[in-house]
Amino acid sequence: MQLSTENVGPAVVVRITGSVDSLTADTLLTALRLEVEAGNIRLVGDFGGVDYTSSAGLRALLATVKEARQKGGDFRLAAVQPGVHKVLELSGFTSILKLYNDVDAAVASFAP
Amino acid sequence: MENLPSLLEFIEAACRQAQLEEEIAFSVKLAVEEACTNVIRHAYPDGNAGPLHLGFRSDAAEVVVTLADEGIPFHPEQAPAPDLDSGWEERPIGGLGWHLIRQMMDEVHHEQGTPSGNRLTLVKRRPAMTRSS
Repeated sequence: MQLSTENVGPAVVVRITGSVDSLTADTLLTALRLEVEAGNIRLVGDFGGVDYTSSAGLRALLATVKEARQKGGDFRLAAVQPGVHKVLELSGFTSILKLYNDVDAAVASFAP
Repeated sequence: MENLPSLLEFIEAACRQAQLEEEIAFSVKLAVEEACTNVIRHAYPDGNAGPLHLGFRSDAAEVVVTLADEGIPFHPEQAPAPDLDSGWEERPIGGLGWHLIRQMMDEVHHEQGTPSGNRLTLVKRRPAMTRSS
């Protein structure tokens, strides 16, 4: 899994590439937590390059959503691929996470 | 946990070699990861090490993965039902592993190992082949 971070308008976009699994989820959670703690509470996860996630990845996502929302922000996902989307759906995450077709739409959703 | 990468690599290589459909390979990998982390956490708690045998076979009709350990017996049927509906504030973090295994696989069989441990069999059926001739 690879991560890169970019400020785009009102949001910080975290681009994730590869697998979010038991081996990588902690790295992702640590990176996202650092953003939230730095005050970057309007976060977009660019999932266009994520081809796999397991329950370990779901834990990182939910923890970040909770921490961001508790501070008045949010962690929103963009460009979720079909396999990962199915895991989100089966886990009941599509009802609590905000998903967007692409990064631009997710960033725009944070515009005042 | 340090052996998890080689377990996942084994299953990925087996799926590739068997030329599984992408969706089937995704399901198998996910169920195997959840089952392996479950064994590592619960059959061998407190960082204790122990054997975990992973078996894979496939034919045109199905994929069968077996996991055999010699650790503490677990009872998947007693795993609490996951919370899939509550709002984000109340939603517990975790507890989705067995749920995902059951959702992704067509059959899940658990039996006590001999002489000890657990034996888990995961079955995923492949889509019926379409023949053009």
